[in-house]
Amino acid sequence: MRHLLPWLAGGLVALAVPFVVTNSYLFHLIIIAVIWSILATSLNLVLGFTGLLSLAHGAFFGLGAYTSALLVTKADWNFWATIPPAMAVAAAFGAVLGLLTLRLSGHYFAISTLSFGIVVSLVLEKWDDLTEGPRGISSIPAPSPINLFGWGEISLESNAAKYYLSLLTLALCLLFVWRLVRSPIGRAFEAIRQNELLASCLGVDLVFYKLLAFALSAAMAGLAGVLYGVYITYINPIDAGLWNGFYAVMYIVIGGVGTFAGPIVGTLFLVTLPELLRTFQDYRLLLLGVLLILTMTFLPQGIVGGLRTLRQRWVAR
Amino acid sequence: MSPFLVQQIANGIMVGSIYALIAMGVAMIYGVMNVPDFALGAKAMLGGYVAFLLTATFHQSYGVALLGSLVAIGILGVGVERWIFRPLAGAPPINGFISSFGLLLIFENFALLAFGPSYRRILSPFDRDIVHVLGASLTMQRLLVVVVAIAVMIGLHLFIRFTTLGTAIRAVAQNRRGALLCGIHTERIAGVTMAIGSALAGVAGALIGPIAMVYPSMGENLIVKAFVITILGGMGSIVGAIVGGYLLGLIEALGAMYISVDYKDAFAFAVLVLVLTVRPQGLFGKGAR
Amino acid sequence: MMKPKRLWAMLCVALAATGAGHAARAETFEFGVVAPLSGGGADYGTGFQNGIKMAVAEVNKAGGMTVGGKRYTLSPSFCDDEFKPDKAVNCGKELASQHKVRAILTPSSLAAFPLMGFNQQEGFLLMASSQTPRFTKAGNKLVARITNNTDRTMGPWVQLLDAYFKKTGQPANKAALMVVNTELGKTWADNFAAAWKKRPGASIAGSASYNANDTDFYPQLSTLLPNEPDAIILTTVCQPSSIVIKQARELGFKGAFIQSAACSGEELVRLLPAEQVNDTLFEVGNWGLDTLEVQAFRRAYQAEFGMPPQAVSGQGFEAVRWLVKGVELAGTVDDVAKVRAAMPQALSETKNMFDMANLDDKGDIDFPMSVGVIANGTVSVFSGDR
Repeated sequence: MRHLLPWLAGGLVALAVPFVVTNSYLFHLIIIAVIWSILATSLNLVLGFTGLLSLAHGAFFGLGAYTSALLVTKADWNFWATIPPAMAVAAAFGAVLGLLTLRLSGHYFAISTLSFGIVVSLVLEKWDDLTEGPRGISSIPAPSPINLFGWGEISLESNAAKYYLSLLTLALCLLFVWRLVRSPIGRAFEAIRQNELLASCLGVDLVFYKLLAFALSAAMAGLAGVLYGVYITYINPIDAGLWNGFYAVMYIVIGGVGTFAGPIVGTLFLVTLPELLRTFQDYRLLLLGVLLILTMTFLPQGIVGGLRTLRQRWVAR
Repeated sequence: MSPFLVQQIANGIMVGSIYALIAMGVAMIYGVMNVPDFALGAKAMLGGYVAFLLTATFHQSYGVALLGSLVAIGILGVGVERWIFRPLAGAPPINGFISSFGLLLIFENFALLAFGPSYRRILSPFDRDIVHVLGASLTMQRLLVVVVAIAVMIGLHLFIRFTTLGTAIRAVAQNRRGALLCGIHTERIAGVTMAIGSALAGVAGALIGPIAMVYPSMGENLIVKAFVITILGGMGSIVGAIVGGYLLGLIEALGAMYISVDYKDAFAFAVLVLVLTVRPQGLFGKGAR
Repeated sequence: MMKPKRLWAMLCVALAATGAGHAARAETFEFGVVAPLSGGGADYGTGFQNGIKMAVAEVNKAGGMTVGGKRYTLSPSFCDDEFKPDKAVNCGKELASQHKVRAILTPSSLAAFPLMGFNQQEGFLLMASSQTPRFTKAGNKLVARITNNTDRTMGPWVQLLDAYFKKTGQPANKAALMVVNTELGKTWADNFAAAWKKRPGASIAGSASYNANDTDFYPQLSTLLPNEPDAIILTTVCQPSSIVIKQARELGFKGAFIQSAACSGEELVRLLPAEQVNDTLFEVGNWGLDTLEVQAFRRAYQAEFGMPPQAVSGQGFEAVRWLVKGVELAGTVDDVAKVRAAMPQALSETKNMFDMANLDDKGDIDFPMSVGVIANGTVSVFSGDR
């Protein structure tokens, strides 16, 4: 139970944020970090727990964002009704990718996912009758208010409301991943991560579990995209591109692969760091590059991994 | 044969040559060091700037500029291997990937700071004359790109096959521990490989400079395609990288012509995904993975 | 240990000294600039930034801004958005809450649209060099364009082109579009195509898209040229446009080029030899008239930064002067609604090199566009009745 304490503490702090943080810039960074954390957590499901390096998650993120935004702005749907189709579209593409990459591993797998992601984002960009292409979708409205049947409404116009929505989503996703990893399905994932050949010899249905991992992970990434769209109010094919996919990988690796806190820590670190570096003006990105290299060299297991090692060493003293 | 078909094929071969050079660099470095060097595109960019400096500021000839970029970026590669990748030897390859991404940020922003964001033109004596081959128009520079790329490929092939150093490189690529047991200084080989791979990228940048101009972010598109090519050809296979490079160039050119020029960039990636479903190790990769 | 009284006294003196220092200095007026300063858009963003720096230097050298009897020095805060919408939001939020800016200038729609998501909420005026019609159609009350709205200017401009072609008698029926995959490029191309097709006998003979930082256009050109277009339409900034022109000529294209306002003819003439760039027509605000004002700006910019300015540099320059006037007229550095209300008057009092005028409620301005012509290696302007 002790290991739940940091989570509870973190949760309480997170809940208090809108009341404590008055600076809207800092608040914005926290909101966007929460949204990216959902993306990172989704990727962690395939990367950290199933051992599959996907570089396509930017595309799933974008698919979710576009599905929801298009349904709301062009077909006048209610925001809440767009969530299932957004997740379904992302999941479908995730399953397709899982199928296409079944026999691949290692770098072949990674680059194949990269290519898939690029194709998806290119189609989103070029098919502008459907998606408005490089114009992007602007003025995305806030989610419609939640009707509390007799007790009024919860409006979602304010940043605080959007924050709580994202936070709730993150919490649900983390809970889902946690339960999943501890279930027989999760054990199958772990087996695949450790040694695919051996796992299949032991009777693990590789096809089923890989597809499942991808579909679930993609659906979650799509959900992150949906939240991103309503928060930023503008989406563009760049958001579905490979940079978001790369950043998601970085958040996890820097944070600590295969841990639950890793993606969140990594996201917070990599969202705030470039902003802190703004004081260095023109040298900002250069310094970021240096820091990435230093982190990888001295903390090869990421921040959370590194902290764990430190704690073990300290306990062993 | 329609002159425009010839033109597209010629385009494809030229573009393919540049891709192939960088892909060869990726393949070599991956084969020996098991590290996906994502900064190789940025090294090509730096090679372009070196060539620009040599021709514009130091008024050297274009030939000197080509040689200069080769040497300068080769040396840079040695430094990168020594201080960036060697410390990461024991870690999973993904760490090396992220470090190389960090390196990309450093190179790009260094170039931005040093040279500013404007596009620079490298003046080459070959960029003025136009040659007509089977109805296609090619500047001499474009022809030069193909010629130099092929010369480099042949040179590299001979080097790998027939010199002691080349054999040592092959040994380390095949089995690092085995090579170590045979007395091969694997770290030095890593340095040499990185030097060669980087030099290839550097000269690619200097070659494409007169055609496409030099600017800080020019390496980004190149490196993504280079990675796709190395996988398509089979990771670690230099022949695969070459074939893959030309294949990609041609697929893009012909796809642009016959299917849709808007989706030009997508064809290469789509082809890769499809090829890998049928042949998971790439075209020339070793064994099923 | 010093006696507490003495320590206290020293502290008081120190505080007073700093206080005295503050009173002697002028106040500063901060405003924000969100632009791409790294990555693919660096060239464009830096051009914008430099124009702003020049205007700021000019205003400050003349003693700064005078609002309600107090003097203010201009102090711009530049933020690199890396040409990404979410980074633009980071910049906007930082500027609004850390620097409490009341105005943000940006050179592109990519940043303008996400910033529109919260500019009214955070209370800053958004001045953008966005040609997209939607910038002023979202009902945002705190936006102002610093360039033309293609919806409004394209029709008359293409008619002007038509007059030019009639005068020279060159064939001008089939146009091939080279569309850059940015919002600006796409919107401009669509508006252009619609206006072009209204000309009797005119048609669009093919369209090819490319990425903003592509540098090899043989694939696209090889697809477009078989249709034998009379003109190739260019929709992006000078660097890639110059390469398209060069490569099209290499491939034997002998027709005309028509370039959107994203690139000024001056820059093209600098980048390319005459035989390649001749017969290029470009959409130009007064930039192309090369008035004394523009010439002076060009010289000063070149002297300061060692490279020629882009049109967007001039827009940044004039935006600052306009904003300063607006704040002065409004008599407040804080009340953004008052500033916005004063902007139309301010514009009419700010003689600017683009002849921008008439800011309307939605945020649009008049921005006269002419047809620039490159012939014999030099740039001239065709204004119709010549």
